Amino acid sequence: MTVGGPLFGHHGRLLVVDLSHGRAREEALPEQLLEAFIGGTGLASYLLYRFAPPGVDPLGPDNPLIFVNSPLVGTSVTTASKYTVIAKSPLTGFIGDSLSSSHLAIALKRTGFDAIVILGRAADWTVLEIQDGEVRFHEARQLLGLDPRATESRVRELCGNPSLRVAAIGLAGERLVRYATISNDGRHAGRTGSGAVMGSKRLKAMAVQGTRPAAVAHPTELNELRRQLARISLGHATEKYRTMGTTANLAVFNRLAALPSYNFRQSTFEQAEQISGERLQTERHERSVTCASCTIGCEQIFQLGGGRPGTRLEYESLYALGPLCGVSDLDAILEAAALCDRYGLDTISSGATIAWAMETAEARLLDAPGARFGSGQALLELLPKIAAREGLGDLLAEGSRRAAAEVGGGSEAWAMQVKGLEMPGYEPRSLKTMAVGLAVGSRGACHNRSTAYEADFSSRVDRLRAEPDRGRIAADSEDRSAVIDSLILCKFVRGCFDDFYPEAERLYELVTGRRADLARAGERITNMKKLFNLREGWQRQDDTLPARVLEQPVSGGVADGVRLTRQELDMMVAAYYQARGWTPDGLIPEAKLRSLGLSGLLQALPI
Amino acid sequence: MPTVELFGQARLLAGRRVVPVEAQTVGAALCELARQFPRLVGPVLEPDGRPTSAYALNLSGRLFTTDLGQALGAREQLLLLSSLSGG
Repeated sequence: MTVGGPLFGHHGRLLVVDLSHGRAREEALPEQLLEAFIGGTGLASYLLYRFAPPGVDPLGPDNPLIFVNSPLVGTSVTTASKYTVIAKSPLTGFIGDSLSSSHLAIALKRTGFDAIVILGRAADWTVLEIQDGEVRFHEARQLLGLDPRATESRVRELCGNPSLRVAAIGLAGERLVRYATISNDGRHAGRTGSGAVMGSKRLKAMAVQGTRPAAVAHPTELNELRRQLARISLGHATEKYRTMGTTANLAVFNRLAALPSYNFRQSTFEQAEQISGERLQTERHERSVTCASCTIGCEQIFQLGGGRPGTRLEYESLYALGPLCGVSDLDAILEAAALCDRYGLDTISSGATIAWAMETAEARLLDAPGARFGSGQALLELLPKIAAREGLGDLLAEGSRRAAAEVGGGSEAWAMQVKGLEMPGYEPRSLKTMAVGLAVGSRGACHNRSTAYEADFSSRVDRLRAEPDRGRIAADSEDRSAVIDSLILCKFVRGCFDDFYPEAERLYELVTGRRADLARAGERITNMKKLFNLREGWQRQDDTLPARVLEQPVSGGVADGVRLTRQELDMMVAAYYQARGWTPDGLIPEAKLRSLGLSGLLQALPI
Repeated sequence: MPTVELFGQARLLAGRRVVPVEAQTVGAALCELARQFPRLVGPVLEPDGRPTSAYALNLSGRLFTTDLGQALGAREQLLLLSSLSGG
C-alpha cells in the first residue's frame, strides 16, 4: 500500500438500510479500509466481520446482507461487471460470499455507494428501491411466488421506472431454502444461501439505479489497457468459454476419472458422451449470452424440448443434475436447470442433496419411492417440492448435512459436503491439489474460491499423488482468487494475463491512482475470511473431506483404485497451514495478523 | 498404432473423437493430426503442429506433458484437451 493523492475508483461511502424501522443512513468508508481490502469480496469480508454480531443466527434479523461493488466495476474493463453479496451462511454457519454479474453491478456502483448493508427484518414483504442517495420501501406481498425474472419486470412496474436493475429471490428464497440464490439479469449469486438470508428479511427484491459513476485516476491509459485486454480476451486464452462454455469439461473430466457420479460412488459416468458439452453444442445449442461489459460471452443457452425458449447450462449444473444423480436424460437435466433458475435454487447443492436422497432411499432409510439414481423424473418432481418446502422437500431444503443428521443411520457418510456446502464436480481423490482447496475453503467445498485444480490439470504435479507442495499451491490459488474476486474480474479472464500480479496492479493503479501489493492484499483477504470463521466457531476438524472420499478408492476409469487417505489429506492440510504461516491447528498467530496489517486495521477501524 | 483423442472444439472441428496416427512422438502425432485435419490449424494447433495455448496434452489420461519429443508407445492415447480447466 502507498499513500498518494485522492483514491479514485471508489465513492468512499456506505449505505446502511434498516428494514425493521424502514430507514437508512450513510457512513464514510475510510480510504485505509478500501485500500487494504480492495473492494468486492475483500471489502465484503471486513464489512461482514464488522456488522454481524458474533454468533448471529444466519436467518435472524441481525445477520447483515451486504452488497458490495469494486474499483473496476463501471470502468468497461472486460468482465468487470460483478458484485459480491455476503452474509453469514445459513447452510454452513460460516462466511457466505457469492458473486453475480452483469447490469445490476454497474447500476449498484452508480448509486454512489461502495456497499449497501441491509439489516433487520421488514414487517411485511418489501421491495427496496435505491436511486442515487434516495431510499424507498414498497410493499411486495403481491410479488410472492414469482420467479426472479418475472419479479424484475413487476418491480420496474411497481416503481414506475423501466430502467431499474433488480436483484430478486424466487420461491426458494421466500421459503428459506438454505441454498437459495439471489438472481439478477438472468445471473445468480449462489452456493451459500444468500437468497434465504434475503427471504428471512422479507425482502423480495432490491432495485437500484444511479447517476454517480466513480471517477477513474488515469482514464486515457486505462482505456488503452482495457482495449488490449479485450483484444486478448477474444483469443486462445478464453477459447473454451467462448466456443462451448464450461460444459466442455464433462467429457474431459470423465476421461480423467475426475467426474463424480452416483453421489461420488464413481469417478466416471458411463453415459457421459450422451450428455457431453460436445453433444449439447451440436444438437441443442441455441445462442451465447454475454454479461454487461464482457467480451467473452461464456453463457450458453441450450434448447429445451417442445420448442420452448432455451435455458442456460454450465458444467457444474450439468454435473450435479446429471452424473451426480446418475441422470443421462438431457431433456430432464436441462429442465431441472431451468427449474433451479426459476425457483432460485443453487444447482450444485440441489443436485447433491437429491443425490444424497437417492442413495438414502436406496438404503431404505428414506421413504421416497421414485427417488432412484438415473431418474430424471425424480429430479423434476423433487425440485419444486424443495423450493416450496413441501413433503420430502422440506427436509432436502435444509441441505445434505442437516438432512443426513436428521435421518441418521449412517447416511451422514454420504452427505457429500464440506462445512455444509455441497461439493462441486471435481473428484478430490484424482485431483489431489484440489482436494486441499476443497477441504480448507472458507465457504466450504468450492471451486471458485480455490482454483487449485489448475495444477492438477497441468504437468506441474502428478494429480494422483498426495504431496506436501500442494499446501503452498492451494494457498497461492486462494489468494489470487481473492484478488480477482475483490477487483472484481471474472475468473474466465485470468488466462489473459501473462503475469497476473504486476498486470493486475497496473490496472488497479490506473483506476484508483494508488499502487498496491495485490499478492499481499489477497493474503490479507483470505486471513480476514478465516478470522470471521474463527469467530463463528471454526475448528480444525472442519477442514476435511467427506468420509466416502477418505475411506473408499476411486471406482472406474484411469484412476481406478486410487485412494486419498485421511493421513494424506491431513499431511497436505498441515502443509497448507504452514504455507499460510498459521499454527499446526490452523489458527492465525498474532504475529501473522500484524504482518498483514490486520491487527492494526481491526483496532483502528470501527468493529 | 497410437491414437489422438479430441475434446471440445477440436472434436467439433475434426468431426472425430479418436484419430489413429502413424507417429512415434507427441510432436509427430500432432503434425499428422494437422495434416489430416487442416481445420485444426489456427484454433487448435499452430502451423508447426504445437498446440495453441488454449490446448493441453495428456498421455493416456494419466500424465500431462508439454514435451513434443516424448515417445509414444504403440497403444498410447494422446489426449488433446482444453488448457482452460475451470468452470
